[in-house]
Amino acid sequence: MKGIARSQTRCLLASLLIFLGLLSPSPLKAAGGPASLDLEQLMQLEVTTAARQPQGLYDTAAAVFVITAEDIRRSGAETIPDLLRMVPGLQVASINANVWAVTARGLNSRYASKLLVLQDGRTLYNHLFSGVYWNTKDLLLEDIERIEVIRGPGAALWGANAVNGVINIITKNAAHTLGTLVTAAAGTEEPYALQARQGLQLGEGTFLRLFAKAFARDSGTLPSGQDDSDDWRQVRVGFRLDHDIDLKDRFMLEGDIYRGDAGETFEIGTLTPPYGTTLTDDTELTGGHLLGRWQRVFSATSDLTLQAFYDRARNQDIGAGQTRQTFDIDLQHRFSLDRHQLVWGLGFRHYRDDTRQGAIISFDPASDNLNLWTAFIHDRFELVADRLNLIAGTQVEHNDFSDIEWQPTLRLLYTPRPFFSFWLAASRSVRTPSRADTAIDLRQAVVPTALLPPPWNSLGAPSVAQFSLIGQSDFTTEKAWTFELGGRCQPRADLYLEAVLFHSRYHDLRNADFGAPINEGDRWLIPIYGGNQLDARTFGLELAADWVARPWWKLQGAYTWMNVLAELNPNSNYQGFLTAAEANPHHQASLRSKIDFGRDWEWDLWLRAVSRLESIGIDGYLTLDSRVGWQIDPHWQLELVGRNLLKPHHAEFLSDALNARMVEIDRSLLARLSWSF
Amino acid sequence: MLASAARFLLLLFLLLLPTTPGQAGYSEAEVKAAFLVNFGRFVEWPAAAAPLARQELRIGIMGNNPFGPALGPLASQTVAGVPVRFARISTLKEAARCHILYLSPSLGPKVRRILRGLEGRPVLTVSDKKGFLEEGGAIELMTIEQHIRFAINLEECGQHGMKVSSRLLELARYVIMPKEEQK
Repeated sequence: MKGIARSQTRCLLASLLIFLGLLSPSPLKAAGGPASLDLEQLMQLEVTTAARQPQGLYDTAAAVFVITAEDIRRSGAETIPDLLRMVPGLQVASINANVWAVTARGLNSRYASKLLVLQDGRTLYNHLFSGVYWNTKDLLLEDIERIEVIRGPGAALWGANAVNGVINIITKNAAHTLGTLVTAAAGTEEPYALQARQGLQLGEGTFLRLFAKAFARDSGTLPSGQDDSDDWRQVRVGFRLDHDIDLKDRFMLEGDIYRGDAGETFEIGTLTPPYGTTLTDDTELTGGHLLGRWQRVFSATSDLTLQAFYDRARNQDIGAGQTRQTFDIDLQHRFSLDRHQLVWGLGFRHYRDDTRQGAIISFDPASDNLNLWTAFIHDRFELVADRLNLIAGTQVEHNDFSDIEWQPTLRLLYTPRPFFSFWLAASRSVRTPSRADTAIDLRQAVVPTALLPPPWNSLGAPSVAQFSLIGQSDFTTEKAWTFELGGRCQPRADLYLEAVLFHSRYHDLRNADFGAPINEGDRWLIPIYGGNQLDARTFGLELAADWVARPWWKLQGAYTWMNVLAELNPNSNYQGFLTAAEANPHHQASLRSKIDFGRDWEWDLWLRAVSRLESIGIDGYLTLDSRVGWQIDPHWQLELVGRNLLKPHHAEFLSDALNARMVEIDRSLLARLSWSF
Repeated sequence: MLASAARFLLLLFLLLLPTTPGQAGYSEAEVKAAFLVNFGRFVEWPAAAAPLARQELRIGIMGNNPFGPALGPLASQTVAGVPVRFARISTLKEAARCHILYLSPSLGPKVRRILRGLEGRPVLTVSDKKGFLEEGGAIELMTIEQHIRFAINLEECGQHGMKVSSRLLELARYVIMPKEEQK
């Protein structure tokens, strides 16, 4: 019986992972592996530092990718979005030097609404426009312990908007950043970047980290050749305090404040010829946050966590002004019962926003208060000891737009032998509306009515018309069902392979329809009313591989194939959101090489390829980054980083919805000196 | 673009093709996990707390678990006639009930406090944290030129009432001897 079961497993294995076929059966292993060897034999074994740290990975029934501190250091990246480019299944595209469109598994946008981004458990999601304002999210990259990226729905655990993925940026415990670190960098696209960090021990089990960071970044290149539109400057100071009261109780408090400005070039409609003007303006960005977390550990499988944060962010530009405040409190309890491992939690979040009408955007009402209540339960049940786990859970939330939403997930995890696991999942998730969906008035181009197609060209005086995207209060949640199948394995200690197949069905996605023109006195307003008339299906394959070719040479590859089939309700008359939904590359690949020369030198290469975005006419590109690091002595390190080396500049994405100019990303060279003691 | 992406993919796969077999060893995690179990064969605990008396050899893992599924095949083994049990540990109380306790380097400065909390308890502490023996640990694992080596603090073992077999001492890279024997 056992033999049959095993051969069936082998068949399943082979059909699950196409590239497994390329592998020879694991060589030289003694039956039973090292487990059956005695101490003398063990001491003679040659070990390979595993291609991937196994911690947790093989226990996870989801598409997880972990960016480690070493990945961060050796990437040469200066911003969080640039780091995320190494993750299979993620789409990261620059709109200009300080704005990115980042999502997982398609439906990308400047306001990508289906990816939830957290920093130490604090949501970075913008409830006003949806998406993440990446140009306000920053920290010392050296302080990041790891970035966990879950592609696919994480809604059952993390809540709304985790439809296509969850990114959790986890910073280091202050106990692990003792001493002083000072770095200074300058380069062709970066006039200066300075950062300093001081780690202190305040007492038994009490550690404090203080940091400050300031930088300026140059503009990219507009297709017209202009290159002063999107420069970016920012100053940020912050701290993290960790206090272990005893081995059972832990307390953490962290916070930061920042101030900066980020340039952007907008097209603004005017009522007189030529009916439009280009305006370059700086957005003022200010904000800060404070987060506290207390955790009591009862045992290895049981703990209680209480977390609260307050976050305030203010953006002022010519288009509009916004001040957003978020207050959040969460409770989470983990325990095990017989063969069940349970987690449950409760959360409450309060948002307040105050907006100021600008040249492009206004909100009705101008300010609002929103509440979100959540509860979740998640059970991991061991069906067969060490082999088969069933994971079931759901989140239930109450929001001000659609009342109650259920977000369940069901997963099965199979681990036939060490370092091999396979999983299946089906999940439902929702994206709750943002204020922009329900209350925005976003002014677009002005056109003389005579130039418009019928029936608009027969409108009487006034003789000009302006289009505007207008939110509707009956806008409802966007819904998705996602089905996933994945496998990961370490057939040899030096090789890690992962493959995930996914399919998602989306309903009630955002679209818009032209409405009847409204006479505003000096112009006709042609409204484009937001609605939920778009459906989509996505299919994809995500592959990742790590290989330790030699003890001094590591290779890490990722490849994603994806297809988005969007379908607009035939009665809809505006195609804009359909085009945007289809703006996804079919192919993406990334290959990183990390080479160590002796103890003191590192040489890293990073090759990326992204195929064409057909629907919005952005060409595919191939690009290369390179980094050389030299540890001069235990205290000093020098790095030279070249990014986007293959071309002087290239385009990656269009700013959707907002009439902002597309800016091409420049090649850059950078030198960085670090001093730690 | 499609063609170049396809070429790139092909390149990726070619790079991933296994080279000469035999080159791959075991992962550090697998071998270190096997060491943990093996230490149980060379240490004698006080009779009341011994594996025989408790009918299990309890191996605790505290902090990040670096072994993952490598523990699976070891969990079915027996040492000196009793089964091996692995347990994730997070409190001192649980730690004190283990025969062997692995402390992950991820615990950082907490290691010292845990060791202090276990003073006088017959727990064989093992870690691959650098300087573990100086902090008062019993066995430190190290990776030296692709081989796993270990060092023993015999003074600590003695103070906790454990006897270490001379065969284990012979295999150790170095041994910190009890003070009276150093003379």
